[in-house]
Amino acid sequence: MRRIFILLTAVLLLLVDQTILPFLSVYDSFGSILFTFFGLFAMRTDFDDAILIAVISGVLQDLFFPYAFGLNTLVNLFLYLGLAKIGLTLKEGKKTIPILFVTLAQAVKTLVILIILFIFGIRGNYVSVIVTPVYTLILGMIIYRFVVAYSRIPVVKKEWRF
Amino acid sequence: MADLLKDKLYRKIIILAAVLVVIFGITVYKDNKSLVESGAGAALNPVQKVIYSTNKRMESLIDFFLRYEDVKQENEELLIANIELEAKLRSFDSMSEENEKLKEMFEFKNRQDQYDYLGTNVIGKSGSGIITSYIIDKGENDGLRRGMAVMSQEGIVGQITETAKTWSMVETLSSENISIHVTLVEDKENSGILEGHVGSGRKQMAKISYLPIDSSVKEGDNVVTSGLGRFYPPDFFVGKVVKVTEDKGNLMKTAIVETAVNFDDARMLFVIKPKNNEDVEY
Repeated sequence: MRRIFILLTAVLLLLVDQTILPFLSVYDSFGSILFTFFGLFAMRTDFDDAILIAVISGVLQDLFFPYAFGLNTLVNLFLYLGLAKIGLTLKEGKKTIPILFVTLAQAVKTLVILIILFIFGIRGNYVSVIVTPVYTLILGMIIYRFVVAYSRIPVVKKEWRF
Repeated sequence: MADLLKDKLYRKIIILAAVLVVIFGITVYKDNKSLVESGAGAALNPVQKVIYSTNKRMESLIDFFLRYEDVKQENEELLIANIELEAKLRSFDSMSEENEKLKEMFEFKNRQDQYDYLGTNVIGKSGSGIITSYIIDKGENDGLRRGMAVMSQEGIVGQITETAKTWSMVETLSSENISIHVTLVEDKENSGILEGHVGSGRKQMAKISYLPIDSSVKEGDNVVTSGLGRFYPPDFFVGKVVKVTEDKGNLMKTAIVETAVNFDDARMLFVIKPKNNEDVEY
């Protein structure tokens, strides 16, 4: 049930990514509400969850990603694990640090994808290295409280087993 | 390393990463999407179509109100242009009739008739802003293949880069990942490969490289498709040359082209499909 709920949330965010955000693009580039949302969520959860949301969000992004499948999932996996690790050291209630780390994660993701694609002879939009993190920063500021509320929904909230 | 593998979490991460690297390696050089991607995409396509087209309409409406004065002036200019064009059309009709008769006399086959034009809609934009790629609602089931050109009434706008069963991905002429063979209206001797041009800001730009140094290409020249390879018909408008640079060391010229159609503004799109695929050199 929990996984299905997370998957449905991801599908909804993917649709926003592909149909609404392109109209708000800057130099043909835009951020991802899917990556930002689950990046912030990863900072509030454990490693197992980080893997789960990295796979769900990554596979959905890869479905419509041109030229190659798996790149988004792979990069999301390591970034979300890193974010979850940082999240464990943070105190509840801090807003700025999670948003800044997700922004940094987006910058790393864009750069890594551009470099890997470049190696395979595929050229991307280089301006996106600057645009996507800024976009993520703004998106993060807007959606942070929704992520907090989302992680407190009974279905999403993880029951601790002792 | 052995200790790492014993840990359940690390084992999970390593296996997952290895599987993803293999999948990436397999799919990176493939032209078409797998069955899973095709199916999952098809399931989301109807919803995408509704949301994307609603937004497109909203954007046009806002744009209309913001540019009301411009639209009014443009309308007046178009009315005048229309009257002039109607006059030209009348003389064109008689010429066309005469041309048809002459063609019949020489049994000349019209190249434009050897292609089908399949109407399609943009239903989303993908690539997470890193690669600018559009999703259209026609795919392999409609006979689409990688490399086919996409056009609007004004001219060529892009090319198909990947196909799934019921949807495809398109990149615009300003992308560095696609290329089409073009020539100049002013001098058909000047032909070359048109590719995307980086650093062009918001305007969609492309460039024709490796033109000979003695080429007569100049600013303002009109660029059209050459029809080479028979993938799409000749003489479809692509754009105008806005700048010519010379590389004396390599004895060549590069022409920077502003594409005629902005993909975002294009309303109705068509995929150019050769009627007889056997003729086409892929």
